[in-house]
Amino acid sequence: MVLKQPILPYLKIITSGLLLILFVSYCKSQNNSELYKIYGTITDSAGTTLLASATVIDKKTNVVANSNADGVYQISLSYGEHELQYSFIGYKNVTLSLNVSSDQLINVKLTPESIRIKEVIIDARSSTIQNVGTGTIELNKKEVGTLPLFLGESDFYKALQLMPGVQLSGEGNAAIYVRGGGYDQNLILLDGATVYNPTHLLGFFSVFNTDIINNVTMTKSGIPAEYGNRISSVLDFNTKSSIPEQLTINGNLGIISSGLNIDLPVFKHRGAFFLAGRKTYLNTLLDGCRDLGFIKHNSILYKTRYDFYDLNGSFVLKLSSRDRIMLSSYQGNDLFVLNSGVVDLHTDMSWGNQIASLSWNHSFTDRLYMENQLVKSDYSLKMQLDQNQFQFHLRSNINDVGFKNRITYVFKNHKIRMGIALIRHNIVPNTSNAKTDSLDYSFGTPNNYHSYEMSVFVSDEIKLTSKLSVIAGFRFNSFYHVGPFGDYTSTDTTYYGKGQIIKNYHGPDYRFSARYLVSGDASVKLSFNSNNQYVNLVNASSVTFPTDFWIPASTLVQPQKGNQWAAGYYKNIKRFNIEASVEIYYKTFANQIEFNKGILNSVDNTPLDQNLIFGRGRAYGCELLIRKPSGKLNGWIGYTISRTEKSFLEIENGRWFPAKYDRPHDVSVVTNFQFSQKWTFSAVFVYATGSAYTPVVGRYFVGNNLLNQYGNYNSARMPDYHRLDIAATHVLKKTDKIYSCLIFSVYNVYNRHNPFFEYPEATGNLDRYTLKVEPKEVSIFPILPSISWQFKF
Amino acid sequence: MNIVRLTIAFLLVLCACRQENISDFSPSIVVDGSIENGNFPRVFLTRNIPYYVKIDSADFQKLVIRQAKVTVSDGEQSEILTLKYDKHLFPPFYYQGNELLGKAGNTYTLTIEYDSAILTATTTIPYPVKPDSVWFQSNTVNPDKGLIMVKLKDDPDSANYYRMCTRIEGKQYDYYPTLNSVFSDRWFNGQTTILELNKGPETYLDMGNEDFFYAKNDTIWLKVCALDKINFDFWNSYRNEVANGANPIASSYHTINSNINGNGLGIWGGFGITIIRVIAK
Repeated sequence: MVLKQPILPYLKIITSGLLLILFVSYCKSQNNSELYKIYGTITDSAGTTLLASATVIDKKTNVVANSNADGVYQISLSYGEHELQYSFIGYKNVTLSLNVSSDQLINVKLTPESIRIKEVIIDARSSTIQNVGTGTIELNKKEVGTLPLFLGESDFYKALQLMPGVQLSGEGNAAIYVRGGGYDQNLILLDGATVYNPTHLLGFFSVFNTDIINNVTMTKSGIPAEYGNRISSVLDFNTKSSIPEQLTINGNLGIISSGLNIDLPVFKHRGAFFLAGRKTYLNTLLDGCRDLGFIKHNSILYKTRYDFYDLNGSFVLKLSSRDRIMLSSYQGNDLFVLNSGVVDLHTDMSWGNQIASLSWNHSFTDRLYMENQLVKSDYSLKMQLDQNQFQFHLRSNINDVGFKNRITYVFKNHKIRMGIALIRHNIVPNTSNAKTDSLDYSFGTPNNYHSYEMSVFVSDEIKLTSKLSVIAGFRFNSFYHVGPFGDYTSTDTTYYGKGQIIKNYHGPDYRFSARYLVSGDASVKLSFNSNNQYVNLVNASSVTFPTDFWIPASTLVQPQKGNQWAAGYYKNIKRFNIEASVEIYYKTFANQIEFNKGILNSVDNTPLDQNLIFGRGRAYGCELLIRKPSGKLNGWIGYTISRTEKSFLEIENGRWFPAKYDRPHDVSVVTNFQFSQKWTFSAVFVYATGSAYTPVVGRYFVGNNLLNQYGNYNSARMPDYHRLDIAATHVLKKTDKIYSCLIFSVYNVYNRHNPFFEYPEATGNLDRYTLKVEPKEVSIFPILPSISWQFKF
Repeated sequence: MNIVRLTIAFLLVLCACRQENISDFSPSIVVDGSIENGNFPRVFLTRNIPYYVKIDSADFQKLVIRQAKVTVSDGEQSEILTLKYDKHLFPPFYYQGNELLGKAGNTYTLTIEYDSAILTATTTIPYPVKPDSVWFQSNTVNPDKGLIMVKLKDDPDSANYYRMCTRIEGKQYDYYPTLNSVFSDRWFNGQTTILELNKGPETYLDMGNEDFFYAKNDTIWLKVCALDKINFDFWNSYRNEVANGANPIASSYHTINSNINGNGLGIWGGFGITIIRVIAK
């Protein structure tokens, strides 16, 4: 007792000193080189809804992690103090300060924000810098929801077209072209199942109903090894899967289409049903436009009828804390009727997709995660032509069934992904028959291609240092064309039996990317990828029309191959809250396909692959993006300068000519301004160089008719395309339970007649020796205002 | 800011003016020549005209070539054709033989010399084909109009090509191709088939009153032509271009398969013909 008082202070000092020495030496031995895992689940405040793809950012090191589909996150942090911010769209952020000295389990609950049109997600800012891949774009529902896209309908697919590197397709053209790649070089997935035709006629709407889509990730370069069979990009759409707290109904009522979406939790919040439907009544609008004189006589809309519907349904069930299953399906159909007065011809066309995907996700541990998917995609096109007693039918079909497996394993500084994919394709590129009252024409046996695609892949994302991360991926593909099949030439036919292998192709895909953090808010990235593509689209008309054919690799059709090199610089300018990036790319393509004959010539069932010519392509360009993702004023400006060329021996002896969709300059400006709690205004302006076409340079007479003499292939340009759209959103009512707003929008504000196509109209009288040939332009969409009402309860 | 400079430099490189290879109009001689068995060869020679144009009768005169030397030879005999005029035809001037008649199974060479240009072409006349039967079939909706039906048996031992033309007696001076005029035996090789023929327009330049049907009580002369593959390829691509050329949905890659060698466009074709009279009743 007596000793305590004099010794205690000394003891304290010595102990503190010892502890200090121990602490310092311990710190030094740590040296920030060892990382600890902070992990857990992120849920809503009730703890029942798992928040998938929520973001966790360490404000100290700018390390980012996302929760997976089951709401489980894991972030690796160095020893010491950190500040973690957890965020998720629609919820208030949560920030935790913690002192990291070991692995820790931290479950986080987030409180919902009251419902209102929110500013765009802010956390994308950090992740673009961090993300090891070049050319990646992510869009979520809130970003897309305020854009004044066509006639008051917001649309993910159309929003992607406003990004640099994604070429504006122009009037009536539904296709997207990513960095000079053809339309078929984009892998478009809905919950893992391939979507062969993602738009409705003339690109009005896509099949992706915004109500049911949660997000989309688009990858323009450095395609991850887990995606195969496409060489230019991947558009990975995911439907909603997080279980809602209660029954939610939202919908919109517009002047040309309406939709309804229902989210229903079941089994005590262990599962949920999601249903969404949309239908157009475009015909009423067309009639109105015609009567008011908005649609001119030379417009292709003058005598058309058009209708479509989309129906999505999905079911999610959490079997256990480690298992989740999801069944998602989509069905849609388009119907188009054209009446031609000249020859009394009546054309009916219908086409549609039927897609289903069943997935089972299982977490073995916090580090080991597996996803299994069974997918089915059906696409069909039917066309019927009637003229008097003459009837002609054409159909084409694709039926895919497949299985995909992906395993993710995270340990130390590695994130390893591996898996397999097996897909069976059954493709009928075109089959036709004709008949009259008395006769049935024979056009030979339909071409039906059966093929199998089998792949195995592995990739690893490695954090080499705190600044340098790389991804290396490898995928090995095998593709088989099997019987039954009849190989027709004009004199001979070889028959292959069921399952007999007719032709096979093997090929590796490679991917390599590296990201170097120049500073906390800037990075430099490089990537290279080499891919094979086994199912290709043949563009059979001058516009993208549903009559384009998909054809698989076979004896005469080799797989397409593509190589891409890309590099980019990414910077966040925090002072102005801006994300900026510059990316350059160079791509080469082999085994590109062109169709050698007019489509109406091929209706005799000549095997399609005997009408094709093959060549090569190349594309290069530079993309600039300046994005302000949050604030009262937000949006982005994108500018792409690029060149896409092709060369075929049969076309002018292999001279390099610009691809039809080569648009050297492509500008998109998107702005959103939240004026007040009730009003938001937005505007979109797009500009692109006109697309290329083959001009007519001369004419001549043969057999009482005037024939066109064509100039060099694709050597002329259509007039430049530009357009301004504006929209205003007025919130009528917003409470925690109910939300309703009116959207006023105007498409093509200054009524520019962007030409759909140009043709020479020749009129004359051979008896009186007069002739006049004039250019005629056909355009489709004049200024189109619209109002729609959106509600949610 | 090195990155900025690099980017600007790169952009300048991309912007570097690239002249698109826009080809200008270049004048050529256009040949519309044919030889049928039992008939003299007939050749129309014109010039091509540029781009968007508006011409009247004076300009038209300049389009027709009237001073060329046109020679046809069958390998043994040859003849220089003489210029003739017929106001019912377009163009009204043409070259025709007076001695050399076309004969099935022969090969004929055409040589044109004009203004220091020399054009040549060869063709064959296949053996004519005689249909089993030809008749007029009324429409169910409007029985005063109808189609011409041709039933023929295809020769299984060879690749055969057909072209159909009709002339309405009293209303038309010359033969005009039917709406669907060219056929290949690819899908009915060796079989008996029935072809349905709509009346074709005299010209696609003026189709205001055209209804594409034959009228009842007319006398129609049907010319069934057999042609070789080269001739067929021309008339097949011709029909596609004339009917669909302006339609962006139908056409994709425009080529007319001309068989003229030298700076010329058009065709020199041989036809093995059979003429049948049909009375529409």
